[in-house]
Amino acid sequence: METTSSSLPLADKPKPNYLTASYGIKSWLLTLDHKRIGILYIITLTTFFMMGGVYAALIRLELLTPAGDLLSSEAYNRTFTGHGVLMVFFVLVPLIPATMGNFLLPLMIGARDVAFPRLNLLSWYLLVIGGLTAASALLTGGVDTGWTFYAPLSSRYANGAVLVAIVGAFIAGFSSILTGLNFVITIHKMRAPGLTWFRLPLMVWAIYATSLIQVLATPVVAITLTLLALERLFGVGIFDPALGGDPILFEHMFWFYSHPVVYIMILPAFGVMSEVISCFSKKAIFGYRIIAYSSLAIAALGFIVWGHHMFVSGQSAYLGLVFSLLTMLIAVPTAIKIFGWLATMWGGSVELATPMLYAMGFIGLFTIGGLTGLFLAAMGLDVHVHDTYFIVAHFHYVMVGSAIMGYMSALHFWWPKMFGRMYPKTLAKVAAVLVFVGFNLTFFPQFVVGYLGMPRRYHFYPPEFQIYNVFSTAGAMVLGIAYLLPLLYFPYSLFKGEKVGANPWGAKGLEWETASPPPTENFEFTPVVTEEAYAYAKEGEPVVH
Amino acid sequence: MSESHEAHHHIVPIPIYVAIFATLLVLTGVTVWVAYLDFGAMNIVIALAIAAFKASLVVLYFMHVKYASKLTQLASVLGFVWLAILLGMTSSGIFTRDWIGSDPGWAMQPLDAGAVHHDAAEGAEHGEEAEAPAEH
Amino acid sequence: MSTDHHSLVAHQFDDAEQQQEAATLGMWAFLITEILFFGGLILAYTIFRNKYPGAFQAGSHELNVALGGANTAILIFSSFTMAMAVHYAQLGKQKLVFWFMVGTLAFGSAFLGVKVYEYNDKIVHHHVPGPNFEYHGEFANEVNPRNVELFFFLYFAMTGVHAVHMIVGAGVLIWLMFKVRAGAFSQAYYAPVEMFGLYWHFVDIVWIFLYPLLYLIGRHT
Ligand SMILES: [Cu+2]
Repeated sequence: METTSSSLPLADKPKPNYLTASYGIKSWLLTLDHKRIGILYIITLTTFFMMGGVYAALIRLELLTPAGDLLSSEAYNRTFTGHGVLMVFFVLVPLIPATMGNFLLPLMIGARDVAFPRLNLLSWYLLVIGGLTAASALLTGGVDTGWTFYAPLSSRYANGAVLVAIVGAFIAGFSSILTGLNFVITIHKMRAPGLTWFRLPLMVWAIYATSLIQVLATPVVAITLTLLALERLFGVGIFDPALGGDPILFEHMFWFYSHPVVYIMILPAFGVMSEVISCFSKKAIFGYRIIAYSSLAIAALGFIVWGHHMFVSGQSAYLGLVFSLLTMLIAVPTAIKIFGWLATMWGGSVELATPMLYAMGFIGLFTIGGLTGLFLAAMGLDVHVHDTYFIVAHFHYVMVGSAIMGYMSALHFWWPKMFGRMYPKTLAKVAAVLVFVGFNLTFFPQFVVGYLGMPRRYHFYPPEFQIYNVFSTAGAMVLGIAYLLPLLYFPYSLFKGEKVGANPWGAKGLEWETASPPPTENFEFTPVVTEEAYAYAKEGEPVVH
Repeated sequence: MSESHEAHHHIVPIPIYVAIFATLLVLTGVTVWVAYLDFGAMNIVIALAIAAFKASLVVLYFMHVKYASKLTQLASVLGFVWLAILLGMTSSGIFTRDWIGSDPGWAMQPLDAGAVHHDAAEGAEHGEEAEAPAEH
Repeated sequence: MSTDHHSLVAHQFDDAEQQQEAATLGMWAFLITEILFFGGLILAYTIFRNKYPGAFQAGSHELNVALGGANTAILIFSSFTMAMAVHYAQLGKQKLVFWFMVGTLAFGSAFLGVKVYEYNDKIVHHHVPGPNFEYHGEFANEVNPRNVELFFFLYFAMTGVHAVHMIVGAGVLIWLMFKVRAGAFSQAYYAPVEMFGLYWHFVDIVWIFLYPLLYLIGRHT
């Protein structure tokens, strides 16, 4: 980029950006540009999301009536497992870090690329290979263990393509590890001059905390799945009690990874919230440092609460007490963030743009999801609602209501940066409101029906529960339409959308100082940072349209 | 780029490498020797203490962590700390789970059967059955 | 994407120092994942050794202390030669780097050779977990052979994962030796040698723990 630095950036002369720098399938499949890899992830994850969505639609249709009339019990088991495996391992875990993180992280820290671009491309290939492996398992024979692969069901008794699905999840795990490793090093070593830790956007702090979890937690699930596969292959009892193994050991090892995974999904969404809410309140974020530290606190605490999934599994009651208490503690840094965002909006000039609508929806849904999590941390209540639809509702409020809302908010916020064009704003707002309505209609009745005792993972249920399930299925249809709308207007906007300049929202942050779409090496000059993040209180830069 | 750049090219003198090498060999002999002495439950503790000491020598000198930046030093212990969390919490759970009498309330034991009957007598409509772990 | 940088510095880095620091930190992050990967096995070992102490002692007594000890020493030798290779890479003495790498490869191969001999011995004695597993050792009247089988499952899993790391390491080492011969490194640029050294020492550390954990259980009785 130094070779072009002598020419002044001219206003309207089209210069090559990362999209037009080269053409052809090969230039994409072999790209080392973090922005293109981010786009590849968006396409991949959208595909997996639609596959998982088909399974969700089948589940909701089956549950419309109390009888098992659409799917056999066997097929139903395979359906909810397919939904869970695809959505957790291949959509939610990579969702924001791999798409938005890849695109934005080097831009936000003023770097030309991530620290290890080849490793970055390898991560994408691993996710695709893992996803295709798991999808082939789901389509040929299916898996009936649930996404948790609990032993000894998965190691001895399940008769589906469990091994293939495990291999798929294992490969995707390494994709996640490599992405996390890459981002940690990038944040440590690639920041622009003047960009100290406490000038970083909070999104970067959130991605940093997320990446640490990916590095520290994922290897454990990799070895767990390996042991599971070996037990299934050789019939040696690591987890199977009939052979001298210990099924609780599997649960400990599995949840050592799979609880922190929730924070892999949700922490980056927290980061998006900080960016979007301060931008559309035109105010500096309230309590920058404490929000930054709370990301790290959540990442660390998230590792010592996993036993709350095992209160009724035969886990030690004493350890259960410890886990219960620690789980409640994690509400503190989480609440700090929520209050920080509310205080940021307070007194700001709030603009209800599409990203902000999603962000406000996020706050509402996450508050419900988080607070019901506190209920579940109390052992007594958890015994009552364990394995009921209350749990299903709770984790969908966190994983869909929050993580996917955060992703949608991010996508609408940075879309003009990615492609230099704006989507149809009114239509997008309609979709945002529909998501919120459809989501609550789908999952709120599940809290009620779960509390009344409807168990998860069965497709028969007593007739008195039908009314809740009818609401839920109707809500799922609204939600499905709301998710389909962006699939239409985003591609449309690529060709017909209004062209925008570098900073259509008047936002702060280095990514808004380069062109939309950015050039291949991100910046014409290496930026030098001289101010704090979110310096909205000062006179803002003129909005470029 | 706020991390310090110091000491990345620190060159460790050869005699230090040789001394560490010799110490590691001697400690390997000591490990075998003490394994044949009876310290009761302390045998495993002694063996692991020697192994941990040997590992620290390798990390500090062969892997240059003694001369590395604070950040690298932090990274070199982070993995072991997290391993301690995994080992500590899991084994404390598994080793204490039989502590409540001989009859944990949630297993399929007479106590539980009584509770189920009690529920049934009340005509409870919720389908709370004894949990089979494999179905969670 | 032509840049003014020295060709050894990738375009995303400002200078060699930044690149070197990123590589070192990246290697340590990778080693953290390795610690936790082995950690799952060590956790299973901890649980089952406490659950079946007799069977673990019985299984351990089937292993050869002398061979395991010799392999420990061999790995320490290879770690030492690797440390010396990095040392001479820092000084830019490529000939010595090469020959110390040859030494590292030789000791690493010797370790794997001993391991093959040990595995073969276990196969001959039906100590491989699975339908053909048998245990008729000195504790045969006191322990459940299924639990001895569990010990051997962990033995093969832990030493097997370790051996895979050795084999991968040996492959990378051979590749690096070609690079050294081709003059790819200098006093200013030797990061791959240094990073490989970190990996190799880590593999040594794993074995330092595996040896007492697997070979030396209850030897005093
Ligand atoms: Cu959890």
